[in-house]
Amino acid sequence: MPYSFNIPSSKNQLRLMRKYVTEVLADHHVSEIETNMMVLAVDEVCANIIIHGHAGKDFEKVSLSIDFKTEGVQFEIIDYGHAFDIVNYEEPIIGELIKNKNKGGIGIMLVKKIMDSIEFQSTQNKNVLRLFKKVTFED
Amino acid sequence: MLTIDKQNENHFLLIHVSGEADASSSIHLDKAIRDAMDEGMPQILIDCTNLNYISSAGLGVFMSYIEEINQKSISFIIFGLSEKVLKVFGILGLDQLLTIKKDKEEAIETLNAV
Amino acid sequence: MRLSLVLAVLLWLIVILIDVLQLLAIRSDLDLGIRAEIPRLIEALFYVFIVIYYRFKISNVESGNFVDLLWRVFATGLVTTIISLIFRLFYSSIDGTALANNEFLITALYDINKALISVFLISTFTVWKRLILYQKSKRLVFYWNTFEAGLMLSILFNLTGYNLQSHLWFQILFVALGGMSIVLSGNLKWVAYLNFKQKWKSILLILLIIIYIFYFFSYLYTPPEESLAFLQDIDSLFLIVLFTFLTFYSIFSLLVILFNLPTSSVFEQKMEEAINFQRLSQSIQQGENEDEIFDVLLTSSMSAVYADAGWIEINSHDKESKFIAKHISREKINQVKEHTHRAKSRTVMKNPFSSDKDSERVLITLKKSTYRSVFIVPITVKSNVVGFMYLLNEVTDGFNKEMINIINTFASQASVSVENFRLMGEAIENERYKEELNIAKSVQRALLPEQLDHNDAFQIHAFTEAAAEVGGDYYDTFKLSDTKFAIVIGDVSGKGTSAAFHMSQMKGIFQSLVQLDLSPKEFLIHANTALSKCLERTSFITLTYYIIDTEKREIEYARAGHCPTLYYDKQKKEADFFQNKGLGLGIMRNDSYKNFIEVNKISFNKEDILVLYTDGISEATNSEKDEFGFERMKSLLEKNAHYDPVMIQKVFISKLYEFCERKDLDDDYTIVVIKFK
Repeated sequence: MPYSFNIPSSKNQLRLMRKYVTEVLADHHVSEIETNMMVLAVDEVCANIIIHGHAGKDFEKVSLSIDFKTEGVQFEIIDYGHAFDIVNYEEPIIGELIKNKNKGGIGIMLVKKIMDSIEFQSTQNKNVLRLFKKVTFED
Repeated sequence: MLTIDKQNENHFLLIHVSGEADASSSIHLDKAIRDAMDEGMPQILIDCTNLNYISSAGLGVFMSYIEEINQKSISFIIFGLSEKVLKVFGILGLDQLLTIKKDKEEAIETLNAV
Repeated sequence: MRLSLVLAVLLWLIVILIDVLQLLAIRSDLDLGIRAEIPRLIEALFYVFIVIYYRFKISNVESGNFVDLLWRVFATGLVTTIISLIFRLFYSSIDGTALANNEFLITALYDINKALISVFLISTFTVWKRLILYQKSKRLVFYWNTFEAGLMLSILFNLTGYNLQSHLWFQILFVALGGMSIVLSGNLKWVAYLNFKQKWKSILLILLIIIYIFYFFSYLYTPPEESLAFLQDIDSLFLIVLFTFLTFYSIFSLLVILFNLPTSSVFEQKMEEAINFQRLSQSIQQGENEDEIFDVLLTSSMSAVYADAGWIEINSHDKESKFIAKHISREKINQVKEHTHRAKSRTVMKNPFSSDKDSERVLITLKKSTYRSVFIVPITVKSNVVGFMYLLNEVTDGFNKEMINIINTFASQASVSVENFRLMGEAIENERYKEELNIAKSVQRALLPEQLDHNDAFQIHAFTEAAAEVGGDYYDTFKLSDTKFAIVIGDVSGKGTSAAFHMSQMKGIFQSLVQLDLSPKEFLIHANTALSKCLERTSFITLTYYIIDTEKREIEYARAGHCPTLYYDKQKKEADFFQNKGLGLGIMRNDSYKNFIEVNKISFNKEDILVLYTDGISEATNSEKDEFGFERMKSLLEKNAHYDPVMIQKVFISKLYEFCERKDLDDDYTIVVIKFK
């Protein structure tokens, strides 16, 4: 059965979401390193939605649900801001970012590197993002 | 929450970073490093022993100084990363472009070797 | 200026004329109707013009040359005296004749003489003024101006026709102006600036000037055949005040100079020291070299302490010691040095700024030697003792404390000068070298392509760094067609400017040959022929030439002794080096070169990576002399194959620095990364 959590759309509140996800994953005996990776991916997606999708408005909620499958974990993040298609987003070249002394532009790269599959659906003003990560659960 | 604490040791600047470097707090880390660079510190050590979490924003801060560190030949050494945080540095290969040491002793050893 | 002189002469001629006419009138009992004031007025105007004339004339003379000024006064006096003597002679020669009693002639001669004497007086006055106002203060100038104004007004006072003997006003004014002139006569600062010789000259000149003054005074105011006691009426306040002033000042000067004579040598000595000191500090600005600075030091020091002989000995590590000696032979130097080593009576003065034994100054008294006192001063440059100065005196205790102090000052000033000289030399040399390197570097940078030719089938990224500012690493690309690209990487033997020069030749050859769309083999043959002609015998170029065909997805390449290419095969997930044979360009300078070329062709797949580099990377060593090496490069590429070319380059260079533990490598290093899509 899926767990769900409403994330207030403010950067300062992201740490609460991280705490929640960490606890949920810990309950399911996911290793600390894997947990951190997934928390990071979800964190990046949420931060992206908050910063780009909502342009700082905090009245529209972002909801997260976590579903445990036999071979892994699925995260579903729903928001109502501007659609941002991670799947078809063209990644920057990291070498260029370094050369240009950029500070941003690597969030989505991290998500793509961490997660095993990413799906994105956008209907009217509702965006649904599904992240899946294969996990071997510890006993 | 991120706490930055600067400390001038004999011949290098030690910056303690503790807490979580995420989208909202990494700006403080950036400011601390920026200041040290602007002061012309030739040797900067970053103590991440108490850094519990780093997101792309925090990684981005370190990433943005790679060029400057190389151009100015600054000794910039990060140490005390926990395994999970080190793994995050490794996702994009930044661990290969930054000098990362296990602990303070190893970091100082590297400083002295140069 | 000339005009005032001409006017003065004219006016005086009028005075003579009037006098003569008046005499004639008296003779003939005629009243000419000329009032007594008119000749006096003309006389007054004459004085004014002469004053103006001399004011300009004397101000043109260089200040500070006092003897010259005195000489002028003396010369004017001499001319005046000679003329007046000639008149006398002439007068006595016609003595007894009717002409001698000719009153016209007497009057005319008297008037001419009077004019000449006033010219002398005024010129002397102007010179005295210069002397008094030497190193003037504001108060002195004010005081002088008052006096001069009073004097000028006294010219007008002449118009009253009063005389000294019978008018009280005349007496009061005379006493007042006379008093002022005595006070002014106390200003004799110029005397201090005369050296011994000049003082003697001045005494002589002033003495003669005083004699003139008395002679003229007696001529004007004593009637013939009378003694000085019986004076004629003194009717000109101006002239009498001038006489008084000139006499006082002359006498004062004379006395002061006389009293100053004994001290002048000490003063002179000090002056000379100061000048020598200045010479030492300025010698650097005049572009003198080190030897000249030491020469000035020795000469100044010797004259400052009256040394009989001396030398400077400059030690250098690689060469023999250098000697600069004065009044002493090399043999004698060795003798004296021998003596000094054995001497028992030595006073050591420690250098307060250094504990080094070498930097001590030593005063030695010798017994059985021509020289009885020796003073040894170390010469330091940048706190290193570079040599010693020996000063010798034939008498015992020839050096007193003051002398030693002066020498110390001289020596330290010379040290500073030499230091500056060396620094300046270094700076100029450095600047020139840097300038040259900068030019070479910018030329070399311009030779490397800014944009690398490619299409959508691959990404390309290059990075290069020169060790000695300019390097001999070379890479270039050329678009043969939309799907065909030529890529070259090379390394010229040697480093620095000559390597960069050969690199530019290589660039020229590449750019001209590549347009012929040759096969890699043909390209190397032609390049070898061309380079054989322009490369000096000992130089050669290693190179690999690639043709990438993105349509056929093939790479054709040939290697001319260059580092084996590193290639990552995505399907095998393995990196390896292309080990085909080949010989560097310019090594074999004949047709047989073609036998050494091996051409290879491979086909590439998506995400395969081609890494071109120079030996600056593969052969970079760490402190343990281990090479960065092929194995390290191979595994580095395998681990980072998923990155883009820029990132791969960065990882390579970052790992290279980490391995070498430094960033300033000994050789030029270049890496070009190509990743296929």
